[in-house]
Amino acid sequence: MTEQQQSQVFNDWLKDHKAILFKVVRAYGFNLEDQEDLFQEMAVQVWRSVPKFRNDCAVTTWMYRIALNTALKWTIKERKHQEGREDIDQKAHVLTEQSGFSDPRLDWLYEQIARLDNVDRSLCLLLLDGFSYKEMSKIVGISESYVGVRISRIKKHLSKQSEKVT
Amino acid sequence: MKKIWDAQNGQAMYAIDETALHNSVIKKKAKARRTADLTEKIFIGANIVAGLMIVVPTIIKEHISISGSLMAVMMFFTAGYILNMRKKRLASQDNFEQSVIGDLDNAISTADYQVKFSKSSRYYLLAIVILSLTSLVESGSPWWVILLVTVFFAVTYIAAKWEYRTFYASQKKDLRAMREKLGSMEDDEQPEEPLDQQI
Repeated sequence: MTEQQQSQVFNDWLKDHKAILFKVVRAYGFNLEDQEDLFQEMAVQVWRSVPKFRNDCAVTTWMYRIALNTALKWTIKERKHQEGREDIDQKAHVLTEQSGFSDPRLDWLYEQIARLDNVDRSLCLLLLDGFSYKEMSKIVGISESYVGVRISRIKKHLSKQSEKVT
Repeated sequence: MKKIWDAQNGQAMYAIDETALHNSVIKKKAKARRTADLTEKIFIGANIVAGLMIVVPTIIKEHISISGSLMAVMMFFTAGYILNMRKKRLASQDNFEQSVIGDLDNAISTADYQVKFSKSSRYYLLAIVILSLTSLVESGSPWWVILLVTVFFAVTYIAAKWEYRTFYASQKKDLRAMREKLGSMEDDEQPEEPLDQQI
């Protein structure tokens, strides 16, 4: 695969599936600086993954796996390298929050997702995007029964939190 | 909750600055190349070149120094050893499951490799120090040259140890901790109720 072909596939994937990256970025990055940093990291990993994609799963599954994997590793790195990060004023902004996009209910949902641990956060995102337990099990690499147990707890937790608000 | 969630699909949360993203990917892509791959290539190349720089003058001048010869042999052997380790590492990269945990296992394997490489380099450095100092003494170098070279190697050793602790060992520890957490959580859990796929 030539670099031009790789860039073309990358651009197509980004155009069609950027919402996946946005959701993961919003769930794991708690301010715009973190979200930018994580998004850029994800974009590089997606770009690097293009030649390795063998069409043996859906692109959405592939992108989710890359995004979640990058987010998990980023949570380790981010704690260590805070002092080494470039001053936000000195680097070009890749992401700009859309002003028309604001739903307090969605903000609340992301807040609840952010309070979950890393594994539950990944499962919650996959659940909300309609992945089956089998697909979730394949993406994360844990057993289907374990997925079921965690999902059951996540649902109980979200229901309990939503009762407090209503 | 699904309806609230799906409402996102109609409108993007963020706008992407394509030019800035493109520049960022190029910059980070170049940085990602400075990994085990590049370190190995530098080590192999440096050892072969340094070995030749010792052997060729020895042949031309027809003057054999024991420490110099030993150093050249060690350098060629090290280059061959690293080349072999590199082949094994590259061959094993596709053996991991294609999942988040599989990727984590792959990252741990790479981190393990980097830790061993970093540790071995310090022993290698020690051997180079001994042979270099022996060679300087054999050639009758002044005491201040020997002292300077000793100080230089001591600083290099301390820097290598710091790098090992700060980056490689620490990264491996964090990756392992995350992997163990994922593994132990699964082992401890028992299904409480039948699977329910409905939101």
